[in-house]
Amino acid sequence: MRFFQIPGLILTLLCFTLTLVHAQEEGKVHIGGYGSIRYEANDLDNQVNTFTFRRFVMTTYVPITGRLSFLSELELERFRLLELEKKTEGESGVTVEQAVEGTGGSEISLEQAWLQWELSSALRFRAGGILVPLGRFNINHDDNIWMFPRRSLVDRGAPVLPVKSAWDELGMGFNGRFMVGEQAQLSYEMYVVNGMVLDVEVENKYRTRIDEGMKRVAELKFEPFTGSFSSDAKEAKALTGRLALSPTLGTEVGLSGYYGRYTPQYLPAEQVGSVGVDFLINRGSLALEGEYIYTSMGDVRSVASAFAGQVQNQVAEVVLEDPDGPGIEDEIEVALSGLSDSRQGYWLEARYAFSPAFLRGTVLGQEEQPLWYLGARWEQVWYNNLVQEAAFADGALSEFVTSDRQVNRLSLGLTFRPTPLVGFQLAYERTWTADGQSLADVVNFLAAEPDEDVAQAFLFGVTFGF
Amino acid sequence: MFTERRLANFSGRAGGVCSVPMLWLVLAALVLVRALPAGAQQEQTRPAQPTFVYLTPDEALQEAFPKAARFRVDTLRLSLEQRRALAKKLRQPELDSLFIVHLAYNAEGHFLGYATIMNEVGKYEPITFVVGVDPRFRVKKVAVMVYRESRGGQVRQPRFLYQFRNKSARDPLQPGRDIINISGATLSVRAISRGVKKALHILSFWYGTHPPQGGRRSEP
Repeated sequence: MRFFQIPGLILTLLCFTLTLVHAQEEGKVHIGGYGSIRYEANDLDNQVNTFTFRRFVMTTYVPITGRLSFLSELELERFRLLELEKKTEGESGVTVEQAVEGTGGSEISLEQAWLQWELSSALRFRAGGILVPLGRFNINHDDNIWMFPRRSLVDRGAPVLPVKSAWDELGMGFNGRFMVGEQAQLSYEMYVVNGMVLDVEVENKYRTRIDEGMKRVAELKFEPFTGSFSSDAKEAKALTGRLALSPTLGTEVGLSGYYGRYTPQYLPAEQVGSVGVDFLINRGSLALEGEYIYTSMGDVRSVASAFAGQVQNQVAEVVLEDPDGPGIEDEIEVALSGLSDSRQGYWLEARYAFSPAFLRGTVLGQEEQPLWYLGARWEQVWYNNLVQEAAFADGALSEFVTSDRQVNRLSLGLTFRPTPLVGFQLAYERTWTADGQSLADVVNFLAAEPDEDVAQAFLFGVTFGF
Repeated sequence: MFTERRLANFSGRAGGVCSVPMLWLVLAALVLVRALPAGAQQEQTRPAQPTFVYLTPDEALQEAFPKAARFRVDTLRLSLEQRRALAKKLRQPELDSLFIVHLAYNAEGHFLGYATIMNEVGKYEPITFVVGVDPRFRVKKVAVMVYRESRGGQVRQPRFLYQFRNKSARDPLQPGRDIINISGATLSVRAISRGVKKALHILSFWYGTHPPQGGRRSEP
């Protein structure tokens, strides 16, 4: 069996590579990508000033025929290394060794991968991992096309989107565009997808302690995630779509939505519904762009109660005594995260393009048509009944704390583009909450202390596409 | 309106995964056959790219000057100094020494303007388009003739091309400033903007001092 499998696999991979090379020579496979690297300095006590290779995304686009095409995006986020070692020895019993070596904060994900069949420009069938067309950012999320090095709060930092961007789901549906007269264009996207789900993230922690021995903690964190690309355990599909009208080139207004169940099969059905309105206005060198999203997750208290009934106990602990040493403490903890009854937010961005004449004879004016952008982005997000704590024991909620929260951010930036696909971004951002509450509970990119309600940061980013 | 003429689209596919061991080998063999150079396979008809020809050269000239009764071809030969001076103005590394211009005249022999066919590389492939310029060196019409890229074809839409109307060599013709970019077609937008700018500079440089026969007249 193995004799056939291994050489067959190697031969297939070899031939597949040859096919890709052959196809690329013919101009059939287009390899592209984008990425961003940045340096961030901020004034929070626990937030380090650091370089971050934020993401590198490889894009493959294959026009199989004039009407059939395939596109995929493979994302490496803060990624450098993932190494797996495995060894089995059969001497006086069987010894199995497994070691995983990786870099912190790293992630590999398939951002999209779909096949499209273009019946006409007004009717295209698309199937696969599809970007959810909620708002305008998620479907245009490439780092190198944006003014600021950090993504918006609504889409990423304090997500009003049910799942933070880039959010893709497995499904199929249609998209297309119609010309309305000579100037106007109407476009749509409509898909049925497996849909987002309250899924679990398992975190293992190993802690050494003075005089108390070792502690091993397994944290089971249940929070909203992209739905399964395997089998949809909740057996309920979600519907998502966007309708956009572009009266003239450079102007667009969009209306979008998402609706579907998000609780897994073992919990009572609860739906998530989102609506979005977005726009873009270009007038000469000035561009205004914005997005508003509202999301409702239903009654999260009843979700938490049912969850408690299913899980029974939030924490389980056991201490393994060792007569010769301090012993080991084992703990399993279950947590609910990222839920609120509803949330809403918006971002508005204004940017102005210019090309200073006095720089044209300098090194900054050497490329064909370099451009500078001066911009500002204003963002606000509100959470209604954001779950702060859900403690439970013996199948019942013992403590359920929610609060209404708000977070604001103002970003100012200057971006230099020697060529349209490459940007050098300098930005200042000030993020703060209302009523002196900590930033820690409402944003996912700042390690704020309980008394830190304002954060200021300078970012220098390099972003590129090819 | 444009005459859309799709030349051809043929393609094959390869790939696939199977858990049955023997099928690996069969599949590998099939993929290998697929990967062999064309000469080792049976004859196939398959162009490298989906290429769309929207306008032939004659149709393009008529599109630029519908009232033209005849066109006279003028071949401009730019000296090295002229090319260097224009390249510096355009901030481009180099220019061709030959530049072909079609001078448009109506039935009465009045000069209507200049038309030139440009080829500018988008992301991977050249985009062929016609630039029609009036006697006062302002853009009258831009139309895409051949589009070879697989993505970014929105640049052939009239609503994109319309924004070049009345642009002159004094305008920046720069996406993001006076030309609205199309997301997903950035390099095609830049290619067409670059080509239009090049045409305007060369035409105004050459014919500004050497007006054509019957030149410097507005279109009747």
